[in-house]
Amino acid sequence: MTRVETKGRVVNESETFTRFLEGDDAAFMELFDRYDRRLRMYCLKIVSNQEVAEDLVQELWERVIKMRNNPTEVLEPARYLLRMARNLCLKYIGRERRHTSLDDLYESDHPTESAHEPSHLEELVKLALEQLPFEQREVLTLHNYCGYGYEDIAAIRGETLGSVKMRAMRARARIGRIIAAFLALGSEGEERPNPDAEMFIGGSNQ
Amino acid sequence: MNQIEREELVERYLAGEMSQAQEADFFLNVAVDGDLQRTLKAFQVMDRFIQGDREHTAAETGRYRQRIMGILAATPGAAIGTVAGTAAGSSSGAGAAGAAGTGAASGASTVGAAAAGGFLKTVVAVVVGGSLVGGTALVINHYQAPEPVRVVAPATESPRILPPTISAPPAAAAPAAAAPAATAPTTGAPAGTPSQVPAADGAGPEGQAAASGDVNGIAQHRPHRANVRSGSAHQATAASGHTRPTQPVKLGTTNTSTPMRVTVDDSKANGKK
Repeated sequence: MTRVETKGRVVNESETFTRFLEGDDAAFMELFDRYDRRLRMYCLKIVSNQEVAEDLVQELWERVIKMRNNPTEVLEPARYLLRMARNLCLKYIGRERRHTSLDDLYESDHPTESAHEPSHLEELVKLALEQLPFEQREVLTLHNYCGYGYEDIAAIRGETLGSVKMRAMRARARIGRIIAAFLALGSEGEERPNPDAEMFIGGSNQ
Repeated sequence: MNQIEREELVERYLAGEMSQAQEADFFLNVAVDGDLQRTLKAFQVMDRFIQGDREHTAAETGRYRQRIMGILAATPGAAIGTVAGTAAGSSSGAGAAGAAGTGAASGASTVGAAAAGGFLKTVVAVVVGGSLVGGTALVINHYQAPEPVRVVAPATESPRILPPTISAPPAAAAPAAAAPAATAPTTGAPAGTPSQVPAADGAGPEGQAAASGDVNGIAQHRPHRANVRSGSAHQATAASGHTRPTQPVKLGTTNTSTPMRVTVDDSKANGKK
């Protein structure tokens, strides 16, 4: 049943993409509405910088728009767009590793214009998420933020369903342990310093 | 129960994969196991954070959307390449963003883009069409116009894209009607695809509108458009090897300064004869 629905959705998405390539702006809007949020969320969680994430997704849409000049059949737009976003993110990360100083990183990673002042716990979760290994963070982002099912993620990443689930579970467990350590530290004070919490606090101060 | 088992248990509970009996058992464990309780709370905090984070991020969409729409509207290549692709029979180059030099498909591209998009797209399309007007050697050879802007390009104008309202207004209908031999074949053939109508139905008005900076000049140029159509039709059919009377071509070449008027004169002359 799910299979059929998925197939049906893929067909519709493909048709929409084709219509867009043929010059239908409404089809572009449809694609944009359907995928932009997911893509932006994905990029944001991968590069951990809102401005950069928006720039990357903007670049992605620019590339998609330019595809009208050289139309190519895209059977699975969701996967195609995500792969584009992934490549852009990886390219950015690789570039940043070579060129970014620590000072720049801190400035860009902690924008002061945030409307929402996060609590310590939220900061903790955010940092824990950012410190996950790339593979785990990507799976967690795709599932929890972008709304992809594990089967879709497995297809996107070219992995088995089991390994994707395992990555997601490990990612959640890792964050969960950090939060649990924080909670333990808060409830028991300095009587029983939790090694996990110590490790995390040491990492966050770097 | 070790930590991994606790986490698996909590995950199953949060995913709703437990039966009622299992859930009851789970809550019993939570009540007696402080670590399990903490693990459950940690996972709940994490899920709550992710949910809030997701919603917070989604709030940025409005401003961001405008930027993307701006890109869509301002990208010259949008809608041009595809239309050019459908008119590939007469296109001499890739539909790459209307770079100068593309030949007969420019009219279809221009009109197509104008019909498909909004105002900005119309502006872009008109400018692109105008830049391509002088690019066709056929016209240059036949008219030899001193001013390239005035040369009427034999670019194809996709008949299927043209709105039905774009036709000769009454003011222009009279001279057009005076030359039925000249106009009838052109206006009678709009059902064809761009490739079937290779180089007729000039995009001159759009090009001239762009050259004069008149974005909304289509209506103002309508009288000319009707005339230009007939003139370019003569020229195009002559170029494509159709059997047509040689009269229009002759007359077209006699007066090279203003092709549109030339055609009118030509038609009138035919009418008098």
